[in-house]
Amino acid sequence: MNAIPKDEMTPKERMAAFAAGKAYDRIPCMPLVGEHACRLIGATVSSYSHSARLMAEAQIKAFQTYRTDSAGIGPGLFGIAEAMGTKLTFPQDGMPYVSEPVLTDWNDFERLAPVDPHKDGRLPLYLEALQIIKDAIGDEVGVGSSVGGPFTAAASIRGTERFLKDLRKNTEMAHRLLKLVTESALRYIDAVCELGLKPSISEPTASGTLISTKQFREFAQPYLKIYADRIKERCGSGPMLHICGNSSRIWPQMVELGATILSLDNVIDLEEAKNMVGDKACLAGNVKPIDTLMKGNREQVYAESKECLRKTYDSPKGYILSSGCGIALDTPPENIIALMDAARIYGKYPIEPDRWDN
Amino acid sequence: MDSQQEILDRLAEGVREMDEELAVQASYEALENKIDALTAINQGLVVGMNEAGFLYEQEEYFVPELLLCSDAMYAGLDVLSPHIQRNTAESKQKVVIGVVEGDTHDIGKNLVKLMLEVADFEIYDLGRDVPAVDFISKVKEVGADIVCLSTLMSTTMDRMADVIELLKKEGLREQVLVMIGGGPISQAFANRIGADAYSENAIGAVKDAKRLLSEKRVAI
Repeated sequence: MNAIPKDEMTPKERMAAFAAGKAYDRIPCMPLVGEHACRLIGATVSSYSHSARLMAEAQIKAFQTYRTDSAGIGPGLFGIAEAMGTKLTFPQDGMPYVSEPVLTDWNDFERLAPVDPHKDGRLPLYLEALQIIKDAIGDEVGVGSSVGGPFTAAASIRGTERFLKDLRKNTEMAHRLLKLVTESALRYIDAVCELGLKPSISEPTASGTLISTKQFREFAQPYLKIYADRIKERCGSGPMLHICGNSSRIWPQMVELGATILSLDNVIDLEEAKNMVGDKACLAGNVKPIDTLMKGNREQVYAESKECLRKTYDSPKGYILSSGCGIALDTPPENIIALMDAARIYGKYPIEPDRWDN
Repeated sequence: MDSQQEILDRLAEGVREMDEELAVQASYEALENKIDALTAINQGLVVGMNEAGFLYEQEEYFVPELLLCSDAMYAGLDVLSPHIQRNTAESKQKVVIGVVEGDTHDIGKNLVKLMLEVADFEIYDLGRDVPAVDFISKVKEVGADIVCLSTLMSTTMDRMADVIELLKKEGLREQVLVMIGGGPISQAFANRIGADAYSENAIGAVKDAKRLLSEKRVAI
């Protein structure tokens, strides 16, 4: 393999053809770039997280460097909860985390209110950054916004341990909280859609690693469906839904609630996913973010990408090569470029795994 | 009056069925019936927790259930612990436990802490996002026998190696046993960084701690 085939379409053209069932040049590739982008502009995570200008600059730089098939920025796992009063800690150079959930006492519930995305928390920064990103690169690539799902948001408001216990000991209040965060999220979703952009959902706390299928069906699925319905109504199609950990027990539910792309972690087997739900939703994933993308080299990225492609390239509703979870901050950019190149080399149509050298 | 076994069964049931009230009630019953507190804990509450662990492995119980079982266990312990007849000649083994720097997921660590407390270890819980130097300071301060390191995230696994390196640098490595656990952790990783043991779950952690300590005593 000498030259890496050049992309023949812009990401926007590619994904439009993909969605319309028309021909396109290669398997799309959408690593979950996230905060790693700030490394490309030399900004600390905490300054990036508090500046629309830096967020936009970093994500635009990430797109220009990698030419990923999607771009954007979003409040992620904690943004909605933060806007409702949960306190986050922002290590200067690490991922933000929940330090003080706002609802440790159910008696305070009446004080909570749905967010105004133009005023509350850092939500306005994300909307501002999205506009800048859209203006700069929106003609070349679909710009989206990742928002945390209802279960993850409720857990961030209540404290994860407390919320998990509430599922059994205080189901009524758990549902009331889930309804409230859903209302908040819908307002953010509407604001993103007003910009002409499409949200995606990330719901790690509802993973099969933590809760049963029954608990997912009762406490996560109905609310995720409300998010998905709103996104479909406003954008024309259902969202991408990322759930890390062991999601294999809930793939049918993820499809049922209206996700059109299931973004899956490296602990599951893409071939199993293809066999179970590949005829119902597009699959995305699942190159190991740490062992391969952060700690590996180009050859290892190619090898694992080929594995993923071999298993999933012919999935009936389509396949997107991606990382199994968020890209680690210190991932060498060369490895993300290698992931994109793997899609360009091995994911170029016609795809013939038997002709790959190993 | 119920037999000793019936009361022990109710203690186990209270924990396994996530029934704090039952666990507390059975604990008082145990005391009233002059059942040795340590027996009530080990053959009652702990049995219940082991059953819960089994149900978790069977994918009948999940994290919410384990958390509620541990709450019931704590409730029973609150009643029984003050009544434990301790062999005062034998001092408790000291454990420093925490989630490594950069990680704030502590549910697993809390379950391990509970099981170690029940097994009569003296626990110094440093919480979460703990820098390596803080583990070392605490080990020195209390003369710890064991350090337990936890992480859920692959990005922070290497912080465990940092703790081990720092222990070596400070000349403490021989005095302290290092146990590690968490989502991305494996025996292979434990071997690679020179940890003394990798525990897959909270109940395994207690077994490993006891085994390591007895091996150490034999070695000396």
